[in-house]
Amino acid sequence: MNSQEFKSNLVTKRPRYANSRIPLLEALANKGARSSEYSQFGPIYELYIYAMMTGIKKKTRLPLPPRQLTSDFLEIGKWKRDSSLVDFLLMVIFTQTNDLSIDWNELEDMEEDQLNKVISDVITLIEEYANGGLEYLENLHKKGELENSHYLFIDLYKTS
Amino acid sequence: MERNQILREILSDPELTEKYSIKKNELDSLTTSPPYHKKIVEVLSVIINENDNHLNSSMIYKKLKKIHNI
Amino acid sequence: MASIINSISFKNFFNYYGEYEDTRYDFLEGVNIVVADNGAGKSKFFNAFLWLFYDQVLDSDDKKKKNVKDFAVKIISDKAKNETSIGDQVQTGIKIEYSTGRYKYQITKSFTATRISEKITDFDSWQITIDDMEVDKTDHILPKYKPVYDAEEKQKIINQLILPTLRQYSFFQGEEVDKMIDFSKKSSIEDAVRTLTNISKYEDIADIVEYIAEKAEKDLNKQTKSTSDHNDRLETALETKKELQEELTQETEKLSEFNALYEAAEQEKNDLEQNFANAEKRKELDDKVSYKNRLLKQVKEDYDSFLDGINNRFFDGNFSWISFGFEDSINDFKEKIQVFRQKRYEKKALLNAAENPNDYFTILPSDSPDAVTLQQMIDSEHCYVCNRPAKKGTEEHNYLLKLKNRPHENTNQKEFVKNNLEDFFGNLQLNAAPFLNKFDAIPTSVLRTREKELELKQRLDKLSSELKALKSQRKDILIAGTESEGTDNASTIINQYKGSIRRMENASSRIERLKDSIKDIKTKIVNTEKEITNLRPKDIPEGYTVNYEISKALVDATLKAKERVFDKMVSLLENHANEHFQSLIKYNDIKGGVLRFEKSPSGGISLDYIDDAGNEVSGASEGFQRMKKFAVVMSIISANTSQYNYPLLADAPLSAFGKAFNKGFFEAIPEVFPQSIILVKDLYDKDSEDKLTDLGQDLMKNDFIKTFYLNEVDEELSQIERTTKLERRK
Repeated sequence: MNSQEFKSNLVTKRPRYANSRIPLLEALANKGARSSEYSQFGPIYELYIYAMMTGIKKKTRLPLPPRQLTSDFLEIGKWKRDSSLVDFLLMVIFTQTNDLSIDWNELEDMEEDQLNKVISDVITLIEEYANGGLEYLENLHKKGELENSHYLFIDLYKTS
Repeated sequence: MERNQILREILSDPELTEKYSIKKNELDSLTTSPPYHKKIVEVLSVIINENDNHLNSSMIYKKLKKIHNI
Repeated sequence: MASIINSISFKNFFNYYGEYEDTRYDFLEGVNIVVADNGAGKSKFFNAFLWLFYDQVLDSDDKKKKNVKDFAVKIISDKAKNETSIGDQVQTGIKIEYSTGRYKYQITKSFTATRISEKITDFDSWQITIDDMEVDKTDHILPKYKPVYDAEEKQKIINQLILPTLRQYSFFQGEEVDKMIDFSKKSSIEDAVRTLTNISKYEDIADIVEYIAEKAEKDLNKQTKSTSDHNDRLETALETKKELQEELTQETEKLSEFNALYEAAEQEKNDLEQNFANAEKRKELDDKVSYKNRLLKQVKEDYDSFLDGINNRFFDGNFSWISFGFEDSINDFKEKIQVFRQKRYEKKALLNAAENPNDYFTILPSDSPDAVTLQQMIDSEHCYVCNRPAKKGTEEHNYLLKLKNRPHENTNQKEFVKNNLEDFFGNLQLNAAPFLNKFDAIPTSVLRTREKELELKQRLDKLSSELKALKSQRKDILIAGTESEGTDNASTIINQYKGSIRRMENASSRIERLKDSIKDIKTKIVNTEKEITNLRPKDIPEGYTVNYEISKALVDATLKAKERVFDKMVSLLENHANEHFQSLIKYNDIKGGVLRFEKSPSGGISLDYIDDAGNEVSGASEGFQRMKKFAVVMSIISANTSQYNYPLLADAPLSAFGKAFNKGFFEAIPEVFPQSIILVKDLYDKDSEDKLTDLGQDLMKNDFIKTFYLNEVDEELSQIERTTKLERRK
């Protein structure tokens, strides 16, 4: 597998989220519709990215429930038109080598099926950090501590 | 008296005073009661008086005709 | 001989509960003041007089006058109603005492109500009987009231209080002054003049004389025809005259039509005048408002989209908020990739060495360094073999380079890894560039975002409040009778106003032409008559011709006399009005100026205020406008050649007048009215110690003011219990 193929395999994957997160997603992401008392992101993947990065900051990884209780959404490669964002995210992700239990140099010697396993671990990492981030947000929401301001997300992010 | 006032006011018209040679002092002493020194004074006085007595126009005219002997 | 009201008493009348003695106002000659807030008996006072003169009262709910009999239940004091059980009776009435030089009179009007069922407020729960009006009379020497029985005399006594034709000028509520004196209406001034002069007599006489002239002419013509000397030319002349007279009649009719049109247009213009000025102002403001609205909308849109865009700054490479806190991660990555590359390099080198050992070892001298060491020596600019520095640019260094760059015999670049991920990692770093250099800048960026938001918000708020101010300015400009606030309204009014002016102009020019034509015809008629006189047979009895001539002369003279009387009266009114006006505005700063009565083409009178330079002054304050009208009302009273002997009962809106006017007002009124009873609410101040405003206290001290009453209603009590208490302060 070469770099191109590796990347392509990676970014065509669609991360998943727990169905129970749907109310929160609707409250905090609007997909173009206006209807929340809180500040919102636009598309869901924005919220997802935010949640994942928050999870990574807080080091909270939370496994997803069984597959049938989850849904997927947009494939990674399609997040944001220009890829600089996705590449940045991948940079951060691939730095979590302890988490991933991988060595970059070892990757280069793996068999294809092993590499694919790594890819799937990366996706899992993404999903679980996102889940952790979403859990954090959900708790705040339940406790009523989500501030109703346009700076909600950046304020939270800065203190994480 | 109102009647006299009306009589004098109407007859004070410049055209009339000229045509009928009514002098100022004469005008000021005019009354609607006889004797009348001029026909026009008589006619107007009759009209004013009989109007107050609630006579209608045709009855007044009849009186006037008598004055003019017609 | 003046009529002076001595007292007014109420029994169970609206808010006045109790017997006549309980609610009694005693008045004197001069100025009497009754201070009453709304609901504390002010309009009820008027109602007493409405009842006295017209058997009516004013329904405060719909501002219409109602017959006492029909409205009785509402007139009865609530408290009294409440105390009357089923089967019992309650009496409601008014009692007025007044004096003339010789006699004193007492007039009582009342009705009795019997309660027949439960619901107090239902009209059906009460049976109403109007009591006979009681009129008593006494002389001043031995005061003892004796009843008057004769119905005609009773009526005469009531009329004597305020002469019916002058009632409208001496007994009025504030707003009614405006309605009463609307000089744009021809009829308004005509009514006043009619009241003050005997102009109706002139009209009667003019009618009679016209009739007589017609008859005289007919008789004369009859005579003419019956004589033998009848001739054709005379016949023709008579025919001509007849035709001319018909033409004259037609033109005169047209003239009166156009006069009516002119009047109507003028009336409309005057009604709109105030509105027009307001409408123009409103339109101007409307334009400003809609411009501001557009601006506001734009800024709001900008603001909203700005707010929406804040969270985009996470993912936008220009702001890169998402990278906040990940500096360490990125540095980590940079280290890792370096290590990654290093290892790869070593791997590759080893592989190369393994693959091409000969390459490696045969070409170089036996103790030559291997490729890796070689590279190290180049990098560190030091030769480990000879342990000497080999700085860049030196011969030694160049030699090392030469060694390194010697061509390989075997250039097969076999892949040394299964998966070449160098590009994968390398490209990540390259592409993510925008996100890698902003870590420090993010806090500032967030701050700037907040600042920009604030800026936009401030701009928005400023526009908003500017808009609000404009809108409230606009609202203040009232357009009477038009509740809607639409811009269409303002435009409509402007158009209507201009339309009525156009119609006035059109009518005016037609009127001019008609007047000319009428004058022409009249001249022709006169000439024809001269002809006729010449052509008439000489043997007609003199009486007929004299009759004819005198009556003709009288027709014109009477009409002209009527005009003169009218004009004289208007002129007299103008003089009186100016006198009164000057005393009313004595304490105001208004310089010079006179009131002028201008006659309009249609015969109406307009009231203008002309300043020293002869220019018309308009647009003055409300108080000023009221004063003008008061001056005219007073002139109507004082121009009455007999001294006006009736009291003034008026509701004075002092707040509309202003302090200076008030002073002038209270001094000027006694000049015209021997007695005045002024009802005001503007002197009432419930928070002040004596419940009076400053002006009220001043008036109390004023010698002009003879009596001073304060009406109060205890608002703490329930509706039923609420009655008016009166307190005499002077």
